[in-house]
This record gives sequence, C-alpha cells and structure tokens, in this order.
Amino acid sequence: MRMYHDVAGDGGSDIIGQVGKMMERLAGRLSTIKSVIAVASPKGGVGKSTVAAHLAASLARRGARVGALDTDLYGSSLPRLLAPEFAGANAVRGDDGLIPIAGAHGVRVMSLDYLTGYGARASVAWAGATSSITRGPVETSALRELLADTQWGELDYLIVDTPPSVGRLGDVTALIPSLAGVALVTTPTQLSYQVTLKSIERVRALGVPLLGLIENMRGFMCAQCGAPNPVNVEADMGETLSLMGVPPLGALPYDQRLLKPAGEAGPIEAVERIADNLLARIGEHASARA
Amino acid sequence: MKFLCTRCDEVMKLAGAQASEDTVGLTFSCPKCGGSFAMLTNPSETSLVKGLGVQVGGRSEPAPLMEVIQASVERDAEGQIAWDQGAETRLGNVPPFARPMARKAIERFAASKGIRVITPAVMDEARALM
Repeated sequence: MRMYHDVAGDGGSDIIGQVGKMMERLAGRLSTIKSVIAVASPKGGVGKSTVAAHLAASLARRGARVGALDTDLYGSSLPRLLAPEFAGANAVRGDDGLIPIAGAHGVRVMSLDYLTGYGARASVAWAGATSSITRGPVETSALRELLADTQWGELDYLIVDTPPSVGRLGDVTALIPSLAGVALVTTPTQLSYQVTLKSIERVRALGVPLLGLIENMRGFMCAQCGAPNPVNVEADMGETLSLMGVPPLGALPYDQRLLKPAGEAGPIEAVERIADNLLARIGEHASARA
Repeated sequence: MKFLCTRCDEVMKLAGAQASEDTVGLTFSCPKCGGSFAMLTNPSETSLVKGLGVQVGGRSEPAPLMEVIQASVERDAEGQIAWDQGAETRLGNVPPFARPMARKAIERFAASKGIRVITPAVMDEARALM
C-alpha cells in the first residue's frame, strides 16, 4: 500500500493554501497601517484599557488617523471608553470589510461586541468550543478576523488593547510581525511590579520592542489644592527598571477625568506626556531598524 | 488526510459532504472499483477544525468576513423570551449599568429551561441557582 508521501496533494482540503490566503488577507490589511502598538499587562485591574483608550484619543486629537482594537474577547472595554453612544451597535459591512465604529475624535474602534449583538449585555460564549483545546483556535481565529476583516483604511496608529496576562500577546505578535512595540501597564504596588517584571522577559522573548512601562494609579491629585498625594505607592522601581533596560513612559495619577469616556475627558497632561514618550520610543525603534 | 482504496490502491475521491450542527459526514469513493465509505467526524474534531478557519474539502470562494466568529459565537436569545410587567419592575431595582447583564443572565437561564416568559417566580428560581 502506498503511504502519505507517495500520493500527491494534501487530500483535497489544501489547508496550507487556505492558511496562506488568510495570512495574505491579513498582510494586505496591515499594509495600510503604519504602526501597531500593543498595550498589555500581565495583571488585571491596572487600568490597561483606560490607558489604551486615552492614548488612542490623545493621538487622534493630534490629527493622527487612529484605530483601536479590543482583543479582550470576554471583557471588551474599549467600546464603552471610546464610543459609549454606540453601546450595543453592530458593525455594518462596507466595500472591503466591516466598518469600525467611529469613536472619540474619530478613533476607529473594533471589538467583538460589535459582532455578537450582545453589546454590554453579556460576555461571549462560543458554541461547541467549551474546552480549552477547542476554544484556543477559535480565539486566535477571532483575533485574526477582527484584524483582517475590519475595514480600517489608512491608519497612522492602531492601538491593540490586550486582555490581562501576556498570553494573548503571543497571538498578537504572531499575527502582526511588524508590531511597533508593546507598552506595559502596571500600578505602583509591589504585587503588580513583581508580576510585571516577570513578563518583561516574556515580551523580549517574543522578539518585539518593549516601548516602556506606564505606571497607572500612582497617587492622586488632591481635588482641593491640586497637590499630588502618593497614596498606594508601595514601590519606586526606577532603579530596577533602569537596570533592566525598561524605559519609563510616564505615570498617571488617580484622576476623575480618566473615569470619563475618552471623548469627554479633554486633554490630560499626564496622558499627553505618555503619548509623547510613546511616539518618541516608536521613532527610536524605527530608526534602529532602518 | 488521504484515503486509499485497499482493494485497488487508488486514491479515493471526495464524493459528497453533509454537515450537521456539530459534525460533518464526508463520502469518499474509489474511481476504479466504485467502492465507497463515509467518514463521520466527531464534534470535538469538527469544532477544532472550524475554529482554525479552514474548510474541510477545500474552498473555492474566499472566506466570508468574520467567518469563524459568526459561525462560533453563541446566538443571543433576545426577542425570543418575553418579560412580564412584574419581572420588568423587579429588574428596574438593579442599577442601570448592571441591568443589561442581569437581563441577559436571566434570559440565559430561561432559555436553558425552555421558559418563554420571565416572571418574578422565574427570577427567584434563577437566583436560587446562581
């Protein structure tokens, strides 16, 4: 009896060809996006989505063409932070893909929420994919489709908000080899830093530029006198980060304005500084690559 | 996968495909002797392959937009389940930001029990099990 390699072809499904076409579609979509920036954290609850949304709004306010993709499939936050008036909306089909929702300052937002019809009603459930073995491929495919099947158009920046843990970051970097870099978000607590420092090696192992670290919830601004108050600041990791070669991108204090949707908050000085630093770091990495 | 006819050592050809909700039945036949068999995929394997976004048997047309998401995501039961006045009033006690999620959770419970109208009694039943 002949064996597998004795018979030409792959059995008729042309799996390699199908995967090749998927990746071609993705590459074509990414070719109109200048820089893709992932905002990540190994830890939940550090305000990663808030940071991602306000950064996206800040860049758009400067006149850049900005997209924002929520890859947190089970806990999308960007729709509420960037386009609260479209909560529960479904993305409609355009000439060349699904049209992202127009959010704060024209940020083009895409999230699984805009495809499921769930909106804010519930988290996503995958029919038939109940085990981790079957759920993994569906999640990765969903991420690929959100990237490749969205009609992003020409973008200067696409901000990718990732779910807690840097696990999904591996999927993002596999799908976007040209990723401009990763901005990590932490809070100034020992626990958060401990977990974040562990993830730095993981990010480096993925071979993508680590753009730097954003410290969120670092103290608060006194509502009466405007003076900074260092409540919650357990860790000052400047020296450690310097030794590890991780540039600080800036710190955000507790600020009532950050609780608002990004389109209503107006410019926030600390966010603007972080955006400046982020763009500078992207420029440095691009120059180094050139 | 490739299939050989053990009588003729010929490559068997895909003769037909039939899909149900979670499995696929593929018929192969031998071009020489006409012998055929059916391969019935199990639900886990079918889900795994569907999740990859590839189509068994090949693809002649480009994949539709968001194919995996649209095929995999559990459909909303919105509109198929009604709420009576008492249940709506009680739901009004839930803070507005949490109301859509509470509504969805109760609807999921009702759908799982085949209940078509949500009443305060159904809400009690759901709450007891949550």
